[in-house]
Amino acid sequence: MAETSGKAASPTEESVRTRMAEAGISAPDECVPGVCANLIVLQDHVATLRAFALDPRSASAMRFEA
Amino acid sequence: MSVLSAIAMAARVRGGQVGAVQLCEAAFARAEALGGERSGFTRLLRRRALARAAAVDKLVEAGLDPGPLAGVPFGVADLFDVAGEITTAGSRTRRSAAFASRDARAIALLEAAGAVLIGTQNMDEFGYGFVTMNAGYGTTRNPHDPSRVAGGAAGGSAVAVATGVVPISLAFDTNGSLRVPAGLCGVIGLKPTYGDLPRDGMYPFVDSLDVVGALGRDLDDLALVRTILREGAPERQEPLRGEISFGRLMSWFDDNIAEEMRGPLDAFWARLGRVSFELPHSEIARAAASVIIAAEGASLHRPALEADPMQFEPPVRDRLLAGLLLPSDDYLAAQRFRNWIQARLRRQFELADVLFTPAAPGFAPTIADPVMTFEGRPIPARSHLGIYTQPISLMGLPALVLPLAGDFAMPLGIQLISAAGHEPLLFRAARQLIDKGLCAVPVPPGD
Repeated sequence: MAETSGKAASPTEESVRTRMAEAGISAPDECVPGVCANLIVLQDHVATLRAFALDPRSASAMRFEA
Repeated sequence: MSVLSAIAMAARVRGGQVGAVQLCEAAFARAEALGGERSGFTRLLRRRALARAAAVDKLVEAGLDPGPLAGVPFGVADLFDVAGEITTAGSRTRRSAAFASRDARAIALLEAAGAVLIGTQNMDEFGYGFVTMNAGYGTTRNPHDPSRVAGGAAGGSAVAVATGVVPISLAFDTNGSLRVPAGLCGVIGLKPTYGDLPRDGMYPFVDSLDVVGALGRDLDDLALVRTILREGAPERQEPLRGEISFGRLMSWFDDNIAEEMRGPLDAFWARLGRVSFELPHSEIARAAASVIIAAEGASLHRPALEADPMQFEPPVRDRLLAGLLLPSDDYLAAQRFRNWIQARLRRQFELADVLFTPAAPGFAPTIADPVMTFEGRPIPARSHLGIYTQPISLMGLPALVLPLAGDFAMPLGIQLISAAGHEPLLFRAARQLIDKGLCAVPVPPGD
């Protein structure tokens, strides 16, 4: 079984270029620094979320109500 | 500035003391005198509105009742469909979109109750921001200090009521979109329980968080708007009777409060008995909301991003492109957390009926330097002014924002929160706070 830390590597401008290309997104290079900065913020949010070890079976991810 | 409530205006129209056309003309004159940046309006729908207002006047002349909002002018954030108009959602990417074929359901319901739509109001592009600084449609200025932001995303809708152009605006709330500007502009904002009011004909942003809401200067006006928009649906919850218990949320909701908010908030809390509660996992709720918004918003706009990302405003474009790179597992984890915390949150309201937090950390930031302080660092207000509204959105809870009463340099808003489906309790709590003199809608300077 693979060991995972749940902690993702921080995005770099180079990795953003690669990921956008893999996702089929063609955006001018001038977008890359802004996308990278926003991805770092999102990754902080993701790290906060991942640090809370919620059992995937404990709640539905597909029910939208209050 | 007109200080009449919508209910009072309608009573005068029904009583024949004033005509709907007269009210409409006065609203247009006020909006035109202020101009787009200060009125909050992006488009004035003169021909449509005057025809509608004339029809209301004819009903009155014929001895018929046009409805509880007879002749009341109102505006809508520019993401509600208006028949024959382009729904811009605040984006230049939609300048060539097809005209809407019919009015949004919420507009149709208000007009069926006699109200008259006079125009559309400014917002952050696609609702993705808290400042209403829009590269395509201009920056909406705060009526209490035009050098400061109105807040957003639905800043135009808050400014339109704060300046008295209209007594009510229809708006939306995804993550604080109407609550933040309500707090910063000193008006009352209703964010209903997720799913409570009809979204048909509202341009979406984040399907799992978006709600239709309303802004006004008078609490009873907003209660009436809610009743009309619910089309007679029964309340989800039995009304709670007896004395209302209040509790202040601490931790996440007490961190990062600006100095100008701290004293007034403490004084407000003291008058309500100094009861406080923790809302565990609020920081995670905010993180989950941010992930959901980024992923759903990006997915919604992917075709336009693929076609030409440079059509978007750079701050919105870069946030959306980043959202496209989020793993689906993280989005699902965020949604799972949402359902998990909603279930646990219900117990919180066994301890207090109404919880409260600041609506925003402090005064509206300046337009020249739209930043706020977070964890001791200056950060962009555009993406962070909703730190106290975001967790509540994730939980799907209803909230009412009210201005704190007092002689402050700028408005300070308080966010009241109840259990899902308990809006009548929220309105009763807000009435109590207004009657006690703890909350009041300030009049902008110069008016």
